[in-house]
Amino acid sequence: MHMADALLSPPVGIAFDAAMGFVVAGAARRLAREPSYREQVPLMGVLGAFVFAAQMVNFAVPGTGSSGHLVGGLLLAVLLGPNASLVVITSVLLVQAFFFADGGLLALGCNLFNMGFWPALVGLPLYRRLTRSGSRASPTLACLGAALLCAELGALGVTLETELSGRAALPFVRFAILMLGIHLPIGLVEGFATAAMVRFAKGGRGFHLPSLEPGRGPLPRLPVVFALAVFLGCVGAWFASTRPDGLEWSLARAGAVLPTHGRLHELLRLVQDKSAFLPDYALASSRSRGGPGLVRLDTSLAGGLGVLAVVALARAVGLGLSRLGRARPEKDRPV
Amino acid sequence: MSELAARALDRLGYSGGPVHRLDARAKLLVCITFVLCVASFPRHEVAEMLPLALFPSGLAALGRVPARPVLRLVLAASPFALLLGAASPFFETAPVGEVFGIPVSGGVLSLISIVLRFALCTSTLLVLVATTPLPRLARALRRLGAPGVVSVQLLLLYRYLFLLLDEGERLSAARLLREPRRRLPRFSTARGMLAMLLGRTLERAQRLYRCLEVRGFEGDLPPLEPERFRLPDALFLVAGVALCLIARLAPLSRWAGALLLARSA
Repeated sequence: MHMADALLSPPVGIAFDAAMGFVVAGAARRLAREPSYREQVPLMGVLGAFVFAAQMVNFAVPGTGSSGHLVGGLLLAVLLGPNASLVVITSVLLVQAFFFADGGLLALGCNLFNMGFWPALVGLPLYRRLTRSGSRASPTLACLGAALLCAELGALGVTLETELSGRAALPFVRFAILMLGIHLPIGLVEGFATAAMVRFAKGGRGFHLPSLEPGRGPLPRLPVVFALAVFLGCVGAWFASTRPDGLEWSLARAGAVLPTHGRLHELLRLVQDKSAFLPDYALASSRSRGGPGLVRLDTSLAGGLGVLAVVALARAVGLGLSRLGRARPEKDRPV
Repeated sequence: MSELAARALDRLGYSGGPVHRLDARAKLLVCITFVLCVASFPRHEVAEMLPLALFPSGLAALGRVPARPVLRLVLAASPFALLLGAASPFFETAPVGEVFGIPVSGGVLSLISIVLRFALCTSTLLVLVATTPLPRLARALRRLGAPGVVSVQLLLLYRYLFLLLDEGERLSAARLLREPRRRLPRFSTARGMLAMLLGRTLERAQRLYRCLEVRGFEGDLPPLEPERFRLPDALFLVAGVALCLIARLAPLSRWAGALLLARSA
């Protein structure tokens, strides 16, 4: 279910690329700091190649007449931990786009979101919760539940991305039902195959397997929140209402007449006109140009830039405050 | 079949030529601009996208990339995108134009447009790989800001990709020799094959780690030769981006049509 560049519009592709870029950067930074990272590097590389080889092994799905294969997102998350699995899936998707024409550069963020992000963010915690000591669920059931959830979330992602891009004219609800339905057996097959592989990796009959120490803990939270903010800034800005907000509306209903003249008012308006580089969530220079595609791109850029500006400002204020906080005790220190 | 074509493209990347010598960053940036330009055309656009086909074909001609492996991969890849496109004519039946007097619905135009976009974007990426070895692309990504951890993974994945694909092929061949009448293995058989593959993979990882450790591995794979951004690279970057933008913003197809009609009249 690889998204292709052909199905995406630039704003949607860029929004997903930017958001997933932050998540992968956060995961990579956390991974490089893990003590077992050096040991994990070759394992990650070879397991990435394993995913390709495993996808060649097609098998018959009983009762359907169709074939299935291991996708590998959940398996990587279980064997390597959330951060390492996200990094490996990024490299797998890049090679698939470069060598096998599956996916693409613009679609990289979308594919990462559909196939790598959910196993690391949702699938792995669910699997760990179901398999921790004291839980009555068997490991197979835990893999099944996690794989089904990830497959359905990925399918929903494909539907949303196609709908937001508007390149293929498909009715959203019917397409979503179809995709979710198709991904039920896919998730089941993935769950069974993952469970078998996890069981083997832990037992390893006849092999001298290395001790697998998957990274602990969840995905780093800050990059995920930041990614969500950037995504909402890029895509959510399309849905910003052009109607007056609640305060303006209620003032108008109450019959309040706002003074729009006067020296102070003129001065403030001048300051606002000069300083607002994203008036009404659009780039100041682009408001006169036409075309719905261009307007959407502008709105997305404005939304994304706005979020980045707010984050940069918050970071600057935070840094300043922490410097101030650190400077004070030094004064009190006895010489 | 697609593995063979991918191997052919990989080998082509190591041959010499004017396009091969260009800096990987310049090529990557031009390709990203190209994909963005293709993606930014409106849904029903077909004619104005045609001039953009000159870019991958021109790059392939300059880099002496044969058309066969590229076309084979484009045809074999991702039927998912084409399936989504193929559904469009059933849902968007309102006619939006006429070709030789036959009304054409929006869905049909949208399908043709998706197929064209797909061919343009994927063939460009494949030509990029056929003119640039993946290790150079991985380093270019890193120097353009991708995390170092990702580029190391990309290098290791590429190193073991074709080896493990061979391993998978051997397993499939062995299975086929034992049950030649069964086209697809049963799940229990596939499970055994996958377990064997995973076991061999993990053992290989262990050996690889020991070898890397002996050679003083510190978690990074440094490049053997530094890549420099020279004047031809800058010229290629500027010219490539400019050509993509011109093809996107100027109605080249309409001009060509008008010129042709004026000649014939």
